[in-house]
Amino acid sequence: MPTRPLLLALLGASQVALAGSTAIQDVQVTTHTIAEVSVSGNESITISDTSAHVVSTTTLDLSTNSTSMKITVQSDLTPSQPLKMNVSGFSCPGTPAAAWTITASTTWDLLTGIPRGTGNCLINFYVDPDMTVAPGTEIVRLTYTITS
Amino acid sequence: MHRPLFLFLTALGVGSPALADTTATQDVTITTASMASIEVSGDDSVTLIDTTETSFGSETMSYAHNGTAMKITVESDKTPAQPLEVAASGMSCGGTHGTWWTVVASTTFDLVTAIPAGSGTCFLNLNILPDASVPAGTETVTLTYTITN
Repeated sequence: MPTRPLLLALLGASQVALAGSTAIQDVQVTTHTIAEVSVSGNESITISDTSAHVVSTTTLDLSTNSTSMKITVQSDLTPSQPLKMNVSGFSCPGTPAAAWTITASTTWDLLTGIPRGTGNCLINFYVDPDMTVAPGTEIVRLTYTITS
Repeated sequence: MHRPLFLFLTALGVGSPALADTTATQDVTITTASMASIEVSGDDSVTLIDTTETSFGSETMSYAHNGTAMKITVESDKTPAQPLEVAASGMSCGGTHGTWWTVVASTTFDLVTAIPAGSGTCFLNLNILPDASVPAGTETVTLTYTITN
């Protein structure tokens, strides 16, 4: 006897809630092309003889939500600097190009065909000094760019 | 309804172009030390059978440096008790040649000066003028070549 009215009351309450407690909302998220590149830090190479020097301690981190992106590199090396240095990437997602002899005013495709996702690669510096390079310190600034 | 939400998502970085990180710069510092090397191809010998002045020397000297106007000096361990008169000189070296040096102990002679940066090779000439005061036998004189500023 007490059970039936209670059951009816509960059903009624439920019907009221169903009628006014839902709402529909469209959330539109627009994702642009995202491409990021960062480098682990600066590099320092000391030359004390004419043997070839190889340094591979730089890590390049990259991520993109696009496909077939590439990373270019350019330097501020001036023609008056007799330094001979190559740079290349290895263990990279995508296709590393052959080593680039760093020259000023040119842009080199260091890495092409980067797939969508996040990854990193090592940057390899190869310096083949000769006696034409005077004692002293040179700084070469490299700019890495991720682009389509 | 849509506009505030879009602005909120944009503030969180959702949907906004990541323009700031498409480039990364790196400074590569190359420090080059002073470098200089010198090498002589081998030892030399001559046999004297009379008092005729004899020039000989079939060895070469290779050098390299990245400095400015370096020079090559030579010194010997020849003692005053050794009466042999020996002279040394360099030929076809990159730089300014000294004259013939009469080898004596405890002196250092500038064989070549003003050598430009780079590498080169020159011939080592020796000249000997025996006389009857030199007893029969064999003497060895060690010449030490040094590349220096």
